[in-house]
Amino acid sequence: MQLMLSLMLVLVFPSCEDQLESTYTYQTQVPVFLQVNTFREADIIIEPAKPLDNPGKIYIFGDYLFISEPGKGIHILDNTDPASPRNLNFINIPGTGDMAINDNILYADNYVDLLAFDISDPQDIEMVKREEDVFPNLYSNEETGTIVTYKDTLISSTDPNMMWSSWGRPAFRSDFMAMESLASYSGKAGGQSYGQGGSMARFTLLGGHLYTVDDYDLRVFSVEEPTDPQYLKNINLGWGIETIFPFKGKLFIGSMTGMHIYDASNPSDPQKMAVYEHVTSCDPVVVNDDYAFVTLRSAALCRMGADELHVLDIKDLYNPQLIKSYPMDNPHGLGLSGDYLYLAEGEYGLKSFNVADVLEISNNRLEHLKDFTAIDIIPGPKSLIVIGPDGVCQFDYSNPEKLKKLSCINVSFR
Amino acid sequence: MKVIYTIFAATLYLACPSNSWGQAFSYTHHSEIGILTGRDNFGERINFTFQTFNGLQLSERHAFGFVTGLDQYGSLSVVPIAMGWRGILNPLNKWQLYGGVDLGFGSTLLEPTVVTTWNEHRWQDGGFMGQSSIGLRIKNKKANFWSFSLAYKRQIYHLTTANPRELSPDRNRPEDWSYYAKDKITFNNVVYRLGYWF
Repeated sequence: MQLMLSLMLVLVFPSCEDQLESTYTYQTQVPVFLQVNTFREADIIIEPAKPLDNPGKIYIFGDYLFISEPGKGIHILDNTDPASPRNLNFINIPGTGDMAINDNILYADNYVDLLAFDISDPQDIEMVKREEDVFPNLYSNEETGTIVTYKDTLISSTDPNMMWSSWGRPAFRSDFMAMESLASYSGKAGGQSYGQGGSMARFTLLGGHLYTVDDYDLRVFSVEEPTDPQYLKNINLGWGIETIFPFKGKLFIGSMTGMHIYDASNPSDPQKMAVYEHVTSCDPVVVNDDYAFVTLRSAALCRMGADELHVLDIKDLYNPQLIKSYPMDNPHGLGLSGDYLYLAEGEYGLKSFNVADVLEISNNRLEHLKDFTAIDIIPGPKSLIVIGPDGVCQFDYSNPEKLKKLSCINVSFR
Repeated sequence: MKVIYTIFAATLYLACPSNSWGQAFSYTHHSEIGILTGRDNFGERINFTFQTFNGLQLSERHAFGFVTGLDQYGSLSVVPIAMGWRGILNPLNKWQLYGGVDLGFGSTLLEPTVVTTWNEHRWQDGGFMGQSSIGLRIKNKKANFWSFSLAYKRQIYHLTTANPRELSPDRNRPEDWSYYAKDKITFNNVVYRLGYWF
């Protein structure tokens, strides 16, 4: 008995301390350095069709759909029948972010270079030109030919302060968030036929010139000879430039701080007409004769953002006036077709409005399709094309008040 | 983890009195209440614990079974789900010295996910539970036992605090959250218990 008691006393060991271990996991972009000659020397390979993985931007040209895969390349689909598009080819272009099409020539960026492809026969695509060093802001050291790109990376750390280092990271030019705005501009200009981009595109064509926007700059290329694009000049626009939308000889440029209007009646030398400023947020633009529709969106990169649709009176292009703003859920790209506005609400789906009366847009909502994520919209000649992270869907919008789903191409896995 | 579940399932099966081949062994039950003592950043803590052992008396000296109960660490409720062994050193005496080992999982199934007005999501996940104990049991007139014991118990649990970046974020994908912090807390307890054994 005594043995047991003494044994128990021995076992009354001192209490141990609890342990706490905190791990902070965050997403950031780590720099990846690359020598320019590594991708210049590598062949641009046309590969057989690949399933969509992370669709970025869409472009319609004739019966073909071009869908970019940011950083990787461009899918080409035969869209002769929008109810059953056929996946044809994949152009492998590392470091690509955007594209535009002019007279059977496809322009796409390849890190710091601009490439031109002859796509007159989509079964036999050929690269015709490489215009070098035209997007120099990717260079970390131009003399040694080193460029820097950023790769989304998950990092875990036990240091709570590491969380906030993701702020102030540089935005990557091919950021998926930025897409163009509508572009019912598919007519002929200067004898050249242009493709039609979505409302969040950052390449656009107008008057024989290719305009590209990146974080700070508007760059102008002459494509009067389509197979031989020439870099002309660079116009500094401030920061946070996101989208570009051409309309009737004007360029409407959406940025994180506002909307810039440039007169491109002399296409090689666009002139600033006005800047409409608003709170910091992400915003594509679409335009008709009298009004501009601007979406403001809150997102990680667009701090302090509001989620709103702004309607501006642009009858006087030198003095755009805000007429009304409407609260929205999380508006991304938009598309305008006559009096009908189609708005991609991100994870909240797709909304359609009759905007004949711009003061009553919220009371004229027609439909709200919720079962998919919509990032950008192109009102194409045959169908309304909606793109999102889950794939590309097409709708028959011959009756604008009642969209009819024709087809959906889903990403390969998710 | 898989190994633990396999043994755990086997234990449940063995401990089930309706299994005919298990009839050869007698059923044994041991319930205890007590206090968990430990020290955290705020000083000493004393928490309530209850546990119950149900198993088979495999021999005079060995019992094997299933342990569950409730540990209340402040407002946090942890339900242990474990397999356990009890060994009796001197089964013929009135005062008997015994030891036990329990290994398994502490579940936070009673803890809801909290979403604050600032849209901060907070959820808890359980984790490893292990304890070893030593105690005395005293036979009473009905050949049942009163027991008191001393144990060391280690319980791991995780608290995640996160702000969503997406509408329907996945808890296991930190990419879906703009803020994602996971605390792993290990409770080291010295446990004092009183119990009844039959």
